[in-house]
Amino acid sequence: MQKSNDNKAKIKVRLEKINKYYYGKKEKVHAVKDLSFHCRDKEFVAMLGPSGCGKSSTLRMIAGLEEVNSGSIHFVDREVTNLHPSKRNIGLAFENYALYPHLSVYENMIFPLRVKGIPEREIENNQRLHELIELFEIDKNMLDAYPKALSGGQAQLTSLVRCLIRDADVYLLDEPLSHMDEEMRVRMRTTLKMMHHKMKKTFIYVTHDQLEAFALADRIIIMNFGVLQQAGSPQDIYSKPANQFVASFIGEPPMNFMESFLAEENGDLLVYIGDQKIHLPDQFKGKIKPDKKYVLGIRPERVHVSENPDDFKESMKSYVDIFEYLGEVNQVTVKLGKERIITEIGSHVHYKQGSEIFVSFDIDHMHLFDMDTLECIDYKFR
Amino acid sequence: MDAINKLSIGRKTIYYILLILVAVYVLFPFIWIFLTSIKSSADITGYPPKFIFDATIDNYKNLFATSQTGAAASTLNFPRYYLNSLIIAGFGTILSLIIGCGAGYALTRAEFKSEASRENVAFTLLSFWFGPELAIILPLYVIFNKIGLIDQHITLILVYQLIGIPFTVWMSRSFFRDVPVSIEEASRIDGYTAVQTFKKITFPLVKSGLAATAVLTFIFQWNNFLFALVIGGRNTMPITTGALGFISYEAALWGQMAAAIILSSIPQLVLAMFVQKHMVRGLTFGAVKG
Repeated sequence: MQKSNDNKAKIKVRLEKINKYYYGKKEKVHAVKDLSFHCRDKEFVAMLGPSGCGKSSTLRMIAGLEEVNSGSIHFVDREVTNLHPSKRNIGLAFENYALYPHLSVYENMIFPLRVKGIPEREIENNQRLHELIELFEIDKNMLDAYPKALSGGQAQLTSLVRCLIRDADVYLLDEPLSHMDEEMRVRMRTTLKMMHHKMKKTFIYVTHDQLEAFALADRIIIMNFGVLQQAGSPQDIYSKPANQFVASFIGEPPMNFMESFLAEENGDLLVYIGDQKIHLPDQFKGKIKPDKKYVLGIRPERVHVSENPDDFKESMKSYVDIFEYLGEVNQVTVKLGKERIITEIGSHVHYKQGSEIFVSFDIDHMHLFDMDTLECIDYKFR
Repeated sequence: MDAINKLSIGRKTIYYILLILVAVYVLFPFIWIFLTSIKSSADITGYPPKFIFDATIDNYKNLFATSQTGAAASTLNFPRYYLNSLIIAGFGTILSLIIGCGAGYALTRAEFKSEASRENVAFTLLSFWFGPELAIILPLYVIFNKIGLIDQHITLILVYQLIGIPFTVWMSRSFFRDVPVSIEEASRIDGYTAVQTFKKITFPLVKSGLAATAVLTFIFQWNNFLFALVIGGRNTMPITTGALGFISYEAALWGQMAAAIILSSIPQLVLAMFVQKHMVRGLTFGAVKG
C-alpha cells in the first residue's frame, strides 16, 4: 500500500478482505479477491483497471447493490456490509444513467431530495441544484425533457447531478463521463474536480481511462483480475509501479520491456540486453540476485538516442527500426538485439530507417521485474 | 394508421373496403344477436329473416321479471347468473393478478442458477395454459366433490386460477422485464426501501400493461364455459352456462337468450374500450420494446 502517506485525515471508507463470486453457466467466477483498501475523508479515489477487473463490482458492493460474499465494508466506524443502500447515505452516478423514464430531467435531478421529504419550494431554491445546473452546463430547455429524448452525454450529466445534489457521505461515480464526446468529457472532468474541491467530500470514481484517473484522483487504486495491484498517488503509480501489470497499464506510449540478464562483474551490477550491457545503480546492490534473468522496464521518455556515442556516459549500439513523424514529437523504435524500444524525440530530429544509433537509459528510472512473479524489484526500496 | 395515410387514394380505397369487409365479417354474429334480442319471438323464427321489424325490449324486461313465461323460464334466474359471473371473474382476476404479478416480478428479478432455468420455470407456468381443460376437469371434479366444495364461488375462483395465473405471470413478466433493474437500484440509492421502490418507481411504469392484463384475464374468466359447467352448480352458475337454460325440451327462448348474451358482453366491451390503447401492447407479450 501507500508508504509515504502524509494525509492524516480520518478514514471514511474501509474495505476488508472483500470477496465476490459470480456464478456462470458452468464455473464460479471469482470476481473480487481479498480486496482491502481505504479512502480518507475528502479524498478523491479513482479505481482503475481494464474491463472485467472487478472495479465496478467493488463499487456496487460499496453501494450495497451487490452482495458481499466475504469480508466487510465500513463507513468510518459503522459497518455497512449488509446494510440496505437507502440506509448508507451515498450518491451513485450510474454508467448506464438509470434515469427514471416517467420523470422529467428536472424531476430526476431532484429525486433524492424529494425522497427525503424536502418541500418543493425549498428544492426550487436549493443552492447546489442551481450551481450544478450551471457548472455542468445543463440547458434550461433540457430540464423539462424526458430521459428518452436525451443523448448519452446529457443523460450522464443528469445522472451526475442526481448523484451530487444530495448531501451524502460518499459519492460513487461509475464511469460517469464515458458516454460524452471527447471535448465535453475533458470539460466535465475539470468541472467534476472543481465540484470535489467545493464539496469537500469523499469521491470514489471508477474508470478504465488512465488519463481521467490521473487528472482527477488524489489516489489511484489499480485492479486486475479482481486483485488489487497497487494503491498510491498518481505520481507513485507512474514512477514506482508495483509490478509489470501496473507498469504496462499506465503510460502512453507504454513502458518498454525487454528480457535481460543480470551479472555481477568486479563488484558492479551489469544488465545485459542481448550482447549490449548497461550499469545498474548501486542502490540495487544486495537487493537483487545476479546471474539471473529479469525483465527490464523503462519508460519511453527515459530512453535517449543519438548518432554520437560520446553524447552519453554509457550507451548501447542499436539500429533504427521504425521512425514515425507525429507532429509535436517524433517516435523512434530502435532495435537492440532482438528487443524493440520506443522513445520520443523532438520534432526537428529525423533518423533514417536502418541507420546505426546509440541508445542510453536514465539508469535511476530503470525498473527490474521478476520473471515469475512479475513483481517490481525496486518498488520495495525506492 | 401512418402506413395507410402514406398510400395513394386508389390503394387507400381498396384497403378501406377490405377493412370494412373484415369488420362486417367479425361483427356480423354480434349484430345478429343484438337484432335477435330486440325482436319478438315470431320475428326471430320467421323466414326469410327480417331486417326491418318492430323493435321491442320485452326480451330484456323478461330477463329481470320475477315470474317468467314459458316452462323453461321457471327455473331461470338471470340476475343471479350475472352476479355469479361478476363475483367469480372479479375475485378470480384479483387473485390471479396478485399471485401472477408477484411471480412475474420474481421471475425477472430473482437470481436463478442460469438464464435457462429461469426460462424453464417461466415456460412451465405458461404451459399450464396449453393443457386441454377436458383433461383435468374430471380429476378436479372428483377432488372438489370429495372435499365438499362443489357449487361454491370459491371453488370456481380457485379453478379459474388455472386460466388466470399462467397468463398474468407471462404478461406481467414481460412488462417487468422492460423496467431496467438499474432504475430500481437508483431508487434504492436515492433512499427508497424495496416496497417504496416498487410502489413509486416500478409500478407506475408497468401499470398500463397490468391494466390490460387484468382486463384480458377478466374476459377469459368471464367467458369460461367448461369449468363452470362441471364444477359450478345451481348457486354458482355463471352467465355462460346459465344462458344454456333458455333452451329446453319445451321451448327455446331465443330472444331472451340473445338479450342475456348482449348484457353479458357489456362488461367486456366497456373494459376493452377502456384499455384499448394498452391492449395491443399487452397482446404482443412485451416482445416489442417501447
